[in-house]
Amino acid sequence: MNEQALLGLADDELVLGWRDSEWTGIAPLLEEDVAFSSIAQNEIGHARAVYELVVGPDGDADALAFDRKPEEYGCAPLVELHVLDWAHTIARRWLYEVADEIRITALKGDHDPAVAGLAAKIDREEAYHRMHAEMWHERLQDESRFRAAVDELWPYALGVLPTELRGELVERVGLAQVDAVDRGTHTDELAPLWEEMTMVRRSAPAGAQW
Amino acid sequence: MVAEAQVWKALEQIPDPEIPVVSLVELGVIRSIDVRNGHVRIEFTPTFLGCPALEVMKRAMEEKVAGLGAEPQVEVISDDSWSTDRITPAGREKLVPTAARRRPGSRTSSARRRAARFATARAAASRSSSSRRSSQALCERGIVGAQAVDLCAFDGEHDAVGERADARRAHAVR
Repeated sequence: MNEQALLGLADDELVLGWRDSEWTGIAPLLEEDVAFSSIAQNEIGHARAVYELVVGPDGDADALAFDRKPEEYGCAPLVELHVLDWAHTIARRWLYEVADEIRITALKGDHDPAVAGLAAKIDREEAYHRMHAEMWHERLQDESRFRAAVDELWPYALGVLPTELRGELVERVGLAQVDAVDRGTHTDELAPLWEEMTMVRRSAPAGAQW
Repeated sequence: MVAEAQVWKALEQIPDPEIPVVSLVELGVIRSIDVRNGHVRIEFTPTFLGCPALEVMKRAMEEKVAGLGAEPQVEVISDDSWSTDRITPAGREKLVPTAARRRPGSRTSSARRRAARFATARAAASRSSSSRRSSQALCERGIVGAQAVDLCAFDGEHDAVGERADARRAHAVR
């Protein structure tokens, strides 16, 4: 897989992990407070592992994660959205996990053994995120608010995947193929997220020891 | 000249930062040790990629190797080679009785209880109330090793059920 695609994956996981962590302390259920915090930690761990793979043993994964300008990130618009209600939050988690599973499964067959090995490790861990998302999907799928949120986010979900993998997502989710909100463009909501995400890092001079 | 066996022995002294009742060796995260001309190369596979203690473990290993007078090189292997099946029999012994001792009137230290909870959190990235059942399902599908199911038996909810059952049994005996 090319470096740009790997960075897109890592940026998705970093930014979604960051968005998920916004529920820490304010989720509607204690159980979900713990679940979202754990999932966020795990997604950011996946981002770190992919950044480390991209930069190599002597590279600086932190620089890649935090020292780029917002427009240089390769994340899909889906993960950037600042969603404020539970229906949209769960709709995004579910759509993202279905798309991510398709992407990771493809990556497990990568010709580079380091990429394939890391994909297998990520896949093993994502299994828990999928069960969490699936459990909520099962519970909410007939609720009109949830359905509306899924419909609204659907073009964004398609944009997580390259065109050749979108057919499988269409099949799994059961919605019609529509124009995707593609990777490569950013929403207005990324810049404020970036401001906050990189605030501490930017407060210290480059090369600071933490 | 440092020997491989010495390195294994030294690493056995490093407790897992989150479940300190077991060592890194018992947890099965040391995949290999290669000793060559005073250089020690350790292949290390973290249990999960969100692990915040990764750097702490790396440093602890480097210090142990340096303490033996050798040059350490710890390589983090991010592939699928770690599962709960890699926990050694000795490690399992130390983990499982922790749950068994969590009965009314037992004197389980809060540190051990905390460690057990970490094990659960680690085994199931999301701790839904069905985490134990879920882990069973994952185990059946071959996604996680059998040990994860044991670890999830530490789940607080499960324990509470066990304790209520114990109380009923005690009542029946009286």
